[in-house]
Amino acid sequence: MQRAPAAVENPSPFDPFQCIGITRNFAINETALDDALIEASLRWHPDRWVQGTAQEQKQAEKNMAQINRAFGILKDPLLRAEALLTLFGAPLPTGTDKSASQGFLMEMMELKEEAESAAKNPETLSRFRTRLLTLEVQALEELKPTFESLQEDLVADTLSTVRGQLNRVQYLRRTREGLNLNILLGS
Amino acid sequence: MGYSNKVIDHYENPRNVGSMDKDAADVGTGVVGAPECGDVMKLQIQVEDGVITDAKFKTFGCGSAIASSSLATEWLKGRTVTSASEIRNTDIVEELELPPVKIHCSVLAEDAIKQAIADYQTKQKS
Repeated sequence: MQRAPAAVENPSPFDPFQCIGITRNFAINETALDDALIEASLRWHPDRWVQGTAQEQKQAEKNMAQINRAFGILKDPLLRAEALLTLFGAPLPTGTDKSASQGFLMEMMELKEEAESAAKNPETLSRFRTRLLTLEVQALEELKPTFESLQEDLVADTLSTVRGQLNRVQYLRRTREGLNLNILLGS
Repeated sequence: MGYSNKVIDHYENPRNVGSMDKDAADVGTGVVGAPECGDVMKLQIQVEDGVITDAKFKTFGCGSAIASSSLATEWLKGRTVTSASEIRNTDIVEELELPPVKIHCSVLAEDAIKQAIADYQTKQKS
């Protein structure tokens, strides 16, 4: 006899690690994440609760939705990092980025200027997109050791370092997405 | 809700787009960004005897961010540095009729003005 589904814990803020049942860490094992999704789905997929009460069905649906949400966050390193920082109490600041140095913002400005001129030609555009992607992957790599030391000791300095590194990823990705948008708009 | 006519006007005909020499002694530069949307805004002022004689901007962002900085440069020209530092984001919100979700764009413009002034003042001291 199966037990009635209990609510998957949903504290505030949303903890995707707890929801899907993997260790709270930036470095994750992709296979373990996939396995965790399968395991959670086997348990909570609404198809498995068709014989249950209306309340159980509703709960299973809710749980499965949360599990899918958690998986989507954990699969993407940027969203995963954001979720971790929110759990650490340092969410993405909305509005002006006061911590960013002028040098960094200038660099981003120049990248965007380059994006603008690269967009005029399909060949330079594709080369520029590859470069942005490489920069993003590099920036994500730089996050790993910082997150590791953060995991051991939640120091304010390290937290602001990781915030800065993450913002870099954020700008790079937005620039890359803007590139795709330019193509869609035909500019 | 859509953009107000004023935003569209600034977006389609942005005023004072361009760059100044950021190393010039009479130029103040402010660069600000919002990581959430990836917007970057550069605003520069040229000052003579405490009065802003010219202002330029370059913004990569949404229509509201472009309009906010375009409007800011219009307002800056001819003002004293002291009076320029009194421009508030709420003035921009009011003028451009920005909806609540776009208020951060006006904050970006206010911060850019402040930074440009601070940069100019630092240069004067050294």
